[in-house]
Amino acid sequence: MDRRSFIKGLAAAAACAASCRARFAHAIGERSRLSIAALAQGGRLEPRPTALRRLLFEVGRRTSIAAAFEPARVDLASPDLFLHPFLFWSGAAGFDPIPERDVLRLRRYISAGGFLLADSAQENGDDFIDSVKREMRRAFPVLPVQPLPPEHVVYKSFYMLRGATGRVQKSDRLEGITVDERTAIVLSTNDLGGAWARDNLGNWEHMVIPGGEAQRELAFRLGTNIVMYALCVDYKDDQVHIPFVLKRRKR
Amino acid sequence: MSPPLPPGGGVAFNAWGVELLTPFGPVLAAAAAFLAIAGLALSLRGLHTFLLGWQRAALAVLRTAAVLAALAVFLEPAVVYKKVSRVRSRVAVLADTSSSMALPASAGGPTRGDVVAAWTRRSAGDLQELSARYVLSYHTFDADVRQVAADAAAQAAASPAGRGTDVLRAIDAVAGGEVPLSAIIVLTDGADRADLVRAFDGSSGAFRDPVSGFLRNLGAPVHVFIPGSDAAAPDVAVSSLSVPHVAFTGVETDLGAIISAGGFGGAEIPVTLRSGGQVIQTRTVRIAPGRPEQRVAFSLTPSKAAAGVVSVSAPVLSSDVEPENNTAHAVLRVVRDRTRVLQVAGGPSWDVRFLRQFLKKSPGVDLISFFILRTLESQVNAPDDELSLIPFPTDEVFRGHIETFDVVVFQDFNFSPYGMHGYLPGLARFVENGGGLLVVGGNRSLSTGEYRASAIDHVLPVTLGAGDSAVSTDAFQPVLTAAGEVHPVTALGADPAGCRALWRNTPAMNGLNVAAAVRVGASVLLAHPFLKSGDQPAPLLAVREHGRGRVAVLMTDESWRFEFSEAAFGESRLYRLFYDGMLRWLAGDPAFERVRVDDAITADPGAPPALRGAVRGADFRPVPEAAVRVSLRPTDDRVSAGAAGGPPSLEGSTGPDGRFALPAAGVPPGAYAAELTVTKNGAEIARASREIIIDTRDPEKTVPHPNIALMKALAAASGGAVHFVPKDSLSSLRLPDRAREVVDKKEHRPLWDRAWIIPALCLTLAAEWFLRRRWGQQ
Repeated sequence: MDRRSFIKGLAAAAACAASCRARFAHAIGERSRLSIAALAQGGRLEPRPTALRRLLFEVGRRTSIAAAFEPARVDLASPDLFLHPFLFWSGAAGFDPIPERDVLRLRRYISAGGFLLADSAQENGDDFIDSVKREMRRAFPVLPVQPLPPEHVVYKSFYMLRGATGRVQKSDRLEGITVDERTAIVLSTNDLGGAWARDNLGNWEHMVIPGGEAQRELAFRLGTNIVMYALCVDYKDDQVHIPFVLKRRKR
Repeated sequence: MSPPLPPGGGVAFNAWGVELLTPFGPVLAAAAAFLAIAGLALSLRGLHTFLLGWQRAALAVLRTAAVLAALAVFLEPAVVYKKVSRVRSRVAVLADTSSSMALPASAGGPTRGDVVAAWTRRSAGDLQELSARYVLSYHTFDADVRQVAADAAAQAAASPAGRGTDVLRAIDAVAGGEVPLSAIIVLTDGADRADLVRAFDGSSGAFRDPVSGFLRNLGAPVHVFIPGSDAAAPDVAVSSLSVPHVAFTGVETDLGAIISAGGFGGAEIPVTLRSGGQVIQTRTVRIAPGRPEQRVAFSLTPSKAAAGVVSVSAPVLSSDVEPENNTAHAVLRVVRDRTRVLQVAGGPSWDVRFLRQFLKKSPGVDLISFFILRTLESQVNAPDDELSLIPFPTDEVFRGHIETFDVVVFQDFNFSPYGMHGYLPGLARFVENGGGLLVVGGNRSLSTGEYRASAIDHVLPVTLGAGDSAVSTDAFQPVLTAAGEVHPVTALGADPAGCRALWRNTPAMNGLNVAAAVRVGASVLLAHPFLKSGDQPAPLLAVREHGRGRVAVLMTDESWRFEFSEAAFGESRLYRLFYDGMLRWLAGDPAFERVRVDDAITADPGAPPALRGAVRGADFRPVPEAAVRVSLRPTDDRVSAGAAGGPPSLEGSTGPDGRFALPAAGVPPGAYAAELTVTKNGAEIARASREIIIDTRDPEKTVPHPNIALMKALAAASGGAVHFVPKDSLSSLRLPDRAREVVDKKEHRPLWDRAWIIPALCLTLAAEWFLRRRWGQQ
């Protein structure tokens, strides 16, 4: 390659980069991208503050979802709560009951179409998840927390998965609360955030045990599936039936 | 006993009696009398036996006299003088003056009205005799009731012209009143068209409640005099055709007709159901003797969603006196049982999720979704067998089944990377043929997609630009336009003010696909507050009609905030109302048709026959002063054969409110396909096709024979009987006499009001006391 060719190539690459950037500029707005809001209830520190940014990156890289670059942060009393239909509630310890007003707002948030993923960062014990379940019982007294069976759409909404995983492997199943035919609240005890967390230098922040990097990949796949389920709900179930629907119409 | 002298004053009293004027009421009076008599009896029993007989008798007389005097003071007896008169009960005579009485009473004979009028005149002697025993009142009735003089009733019966027959209303009008009713005499053919016939169960020959209860409690027999004889004039008629309010494609629909065949007892009559002129079914009806009406049931499975005319007809038999009533028409509205929606999304997003949830939850929607879950650039880190992605049957849906959908939604979708350009001409044809297309904006849609200069570009209500000016990422508050206040997609409030208030509080939108311009004929319903597309406000929502279909573009992917962000302030109906209106408009809901035409031209009392309807513009505002022309093509063989001078056409113009009434006098009755063309200032602004019925016949004359079964049931329910005119006469009637006596005037003369009665009471008591003591008693 001579100097002139190199300069032409460089100019073409620059033009392409500018074009790609212009394409992003054509986006209808950053606020219309999928954002996930970390629920910082009661001012408690997030145990996995870098996890969501990495999950959003992976979702954007692996799927057609236009994901935001940075997660938001809200609490249940925040006026911005109803700008973010996806909440990620991570904790490493149990907590005291939240105010009644916040319980009512949580109920309204979920009933209006919001989605909540609660993830325990505890390696031992289930204090955080138990506290979350206690609050869910207050918000939805008649709706039970149930294990999500292997045939649940969340395990096949994008990747075909056999069960739940995370930084640790405490349970093979996610749990959830189904509201109006939609699993609107998903509970994980396996520290998904721990598997996703990566620092600014590109290093994974936590070891994944016992499966190592293969298990971390599965944790990203599960995270992608959960995001996909939140946005598509039972789309996958419907898609299976389309040939039958079309045949029925032919008749 | 002769009464005391009556009071003066010149009143001729003819009866008298005794009454008690005591103010204490009958109970206290009786109690006082009982106590007084009981006390007297005890006191007499207690007289000592050693008194001489005449002494005991004297005391008994004194005590009795004292008690009677006390009772007289307490009870205040008086003589009452009365003037009593005898009030005769009533007999009401009801003469039917509806136009069915102008039909012949027998084949080739005088009209029913003439028969009744002549019979009434001949019955003058019988009526005179009745009037000696009863108070006769005369009334004429059709749909209304009027009291008339005796001679006027016969005159009115001879010239019947009333629209409608309501026998029950006429009976109800004469049933009340102070004077008791002995009987109701009804002179009618029984061709009732109101509540009486509706409550009649032909199979049991009885009425359903509340009519049954009303007749049972009437308290007077109804005697019906029917002109003609029990042998009805021979006629076959389809007296009614009932169709459901709405039918669904692919769903079997029941229709019912009542075949009336008076004079053809025992005959078997083939009855045919036609739809759009095609024979659907034929049923054979056997007319049982004495049961001239038979119900026949049909079933039909519509294949096409449209309003069409169905007809039931019976053949014209020899000696059939009225061939015109052998066919009945009705408009059957057929709709899809569910609105079929195809939702294609360029990728999962909240906008996609909320719209899908809305569509899935809508009970009237059959949804197929197609979401692109990964792009060509996606790095999934897994082989295909570890992915759950199922290939969407794109070719089958877009080429083989696109016509089976009512609405297609492209949501933030760029078709270019997936090689779908080949399907776009078919999608444009889908719209031209009547389909609905909604294009929702977003990162991959409209100008940021590749819609510009595509095969569906020309169907959109906006033209698309390119470059950075094609999007705006600034938040803005949508503005409802004047067109949006009246268009069914956005006119969500009860009135324009309510509609404006509903939209004023919407959450801010965070981005807009900016159109280059709005196409001519399109309407902008929601707009950006200050950005422009050409010389108009930049549309957020624009709609237009293209061909026979409808297209809407929503130039953002933020409408989900109408549902979710609004929930922060409580439950919001905006999102559901908005998309419900959008879906119904896109699917061509008949309620949103711009050209509305009545299904039928019927005989309207007091007004010439006319085809009525209304025209609204593409912006759904009424179109005044538009020329409306309707070409009518008969779909009824009978009309085609009888029509002369080519297919008729109707013409007229709309009024200030967009309504029109096109005179239709002289158009033969029957079923027609109507082609409407609306022009304004020489330009065509709307076109529509409908099937309509023209039936300007007098409904009173559709069933020419008397309804004897109905009248027999009426008479039986009230204790009366059916008679035939002129064979039967009034003299044979045995009517109950419910006359009663009425006291016109009465006066009292008190018996106790004498000056001596108190001293007499005192003297009697004193004498009894004196003698008792003198004779050694306590």
